[in-house]
Formats: sequence, structure tokens, C-alpha cells
Amino acid sequence: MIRSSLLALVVVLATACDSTPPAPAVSNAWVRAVPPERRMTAAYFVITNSGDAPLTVVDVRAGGFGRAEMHRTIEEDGISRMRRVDAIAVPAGDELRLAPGGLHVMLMAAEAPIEEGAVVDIELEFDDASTLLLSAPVRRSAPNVD
Amino acid sequence: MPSKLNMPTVIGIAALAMLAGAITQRLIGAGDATAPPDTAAATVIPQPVALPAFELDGVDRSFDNAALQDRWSLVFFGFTNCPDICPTTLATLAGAAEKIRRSVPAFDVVFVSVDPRRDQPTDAQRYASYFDKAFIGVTGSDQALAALAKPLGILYFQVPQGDDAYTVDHSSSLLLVNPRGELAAVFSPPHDADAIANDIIKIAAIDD
Repeated sequence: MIRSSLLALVVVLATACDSTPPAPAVSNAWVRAVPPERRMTAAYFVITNSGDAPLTVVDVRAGGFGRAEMHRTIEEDGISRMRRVDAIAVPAGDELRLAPGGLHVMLMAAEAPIEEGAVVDIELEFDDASTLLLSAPVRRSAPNVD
Repeated sequence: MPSKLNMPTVIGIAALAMLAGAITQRLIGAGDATAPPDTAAATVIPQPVALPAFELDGVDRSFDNAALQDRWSLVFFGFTNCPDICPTTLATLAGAAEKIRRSVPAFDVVFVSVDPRRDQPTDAQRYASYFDKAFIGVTGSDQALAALAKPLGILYFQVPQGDDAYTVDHSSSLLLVNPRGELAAVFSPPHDADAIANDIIKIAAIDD
């Protein structure tokens, strides 16, 4: 009995390893606090892909916001431009940083003031249809890391 | 009407002045009393140039050339519906301003919204104050904004983003104005609070 259970477990684990790549991880997530009457802000975080296949974020949703999009700020010829990006790729065994002045998740149509101390739940959707939930605290500046 | 001053002219003047300064110094064997300060981030204009005549709108008052007299001002052009670079820059400037004021008490940061379609003066002021209570927020009609921005080579334009939405591409340079209302230095991105603070303190010290 025990033996067959163990065998079953081994089979399940092996199957799991076969079909499911290591889950991507997110760290240092935060959302920038803005004046109470403003209805948009940006979220930043680091996505780590410890798997051996590239990962691509194809969609993003955020609780308490009517809309969320992936954007990139580009500094070009002394001009700041912000453009929507359809997808962001995280190479295998690498990490991708969303940080001020570069890639970010633009959060729009906030249902409530975006105040320090609040937490925003963000869902990332990958190209294989898997999703990842993260909680991003609202802060006035980036958390000190590294 | 504003004087005919544009960025190529400013750069041209700056280059000529630098050359003239170098030659003069060599000729008279002068010390470094007139040498531009050794700055990390700022492009110092050796012979500061008067800003064009302008009149923008603050909350319940106008904001014009006179408002820049007798104080150092760092001017930033942006808009409040800007989720990334504008709050990032203003937060950086809040850090810099705290340090600058210890050495240069008469120092203002002026946030000029170049999106008057969506930003009233109160929007610009509330936005600026959020980052530092002493920051000034102003805007103006398209014409009024152009009177200041265009001669200084500051660019901004609306870019549609689907539906009725738009974003605003804008110059990310910061302009340092001296207590005589003249353009004294330009900061190009990326903006670093310590570098900006140290440079402004140096530039102000030499100007005294």
C-alpha cells in the first residue's frame, strides 16, 4: 500500500517536472503613490525566470484599476516618450526589472486614491496562459534593494 | 514679444563664450576666478542668457519673468497624467531641493505642465506640492507655454493612445535660472538628485 502510494507520488512528481516549468517569481514590487486626485500611476517589480525557457508576459490586470497596460519610457534626443508594449519577455535563467524611467505597468482609472500604505493586487498573464499574482505596496519611493 | 533666442543659438553662444573665455584667460594669464565650475551633470552656460518674456498661470496669480528674480529656479516641463517619468523626476528633485536649500535658501522648483487641455493651474500646483510643499506648479495657454518653451528648445507634443486618450512626449531637460532671470545651466537626463544638488550649489557659489 505504502509502496504503491510512493510510486504514485513519484509518478506525479515526475509528471509535474515534465510538464510544468519552474514558476517565475516576482520581487521588489511597488506602486508609486500619487496625489489623491490623480487616477493613474505605475507599478514596478523584478521578474525572475529560473526556468530554461523564455517567458513572455502578454497581459496584466490590477485590482482597483479599470485598466492596466505595459509601457516603456524611452529617452530619445532629450525627449521622454512613453509607449505601450504588447509583451515583455524574460529570458531563461534571467531577470527583468521594471523600474522608473523604463519598463513599467501603467495603472489607469483608479477606483480609489492611490495612497501610501495601500496594496495593489496585480495579475500577470504569460504566453502559455499561466498567471502569476503579486501584491505591490503603494510607496512614495522605490524600496531599497541590492 | 520674446527675444529671438533658440537652443541652437544658446548652444552657439555658449560655445563662443567658452572659446572667448579660454582665449581671454590665456591672454591675460588670469586665474580660475571666471572658469566655469566643475559640474557632474549640468551644462553650464558661461554667459547666462535672459529668458524670453513669458506669462504663465499659477493658482490665483500669474507666473512671469518677475517671479524668477532674486532666487535660483529649476524648471521642469511635464504633465500630471504622466505615470512614470514626471513623478520620478519630481521625486528626484524633492531629494535634491532638500540638500540645495541648506546652501541656497532662495531656491525654487517650478513644474510647468505642458498639457493645459487637462491640467489647470490648480492641478499643476497640487501635483508639484505633493512631492515638496514648496514646489511651484504652473501652466498656461498653448501660446503662453510656447512663448517660454520654444525659444529654449523645449519640445512637447500630444501622442494619441487609442480611444480619446493621449500621452505627451516632452523634453526631459531641467533648466536652471539664476536670480537675474537668466538661463544659467541645463541638466540632461538621467537625473540624479545628488549630482543636481552638488552642481547647483557650486554654480550658485560662483555666481555670488
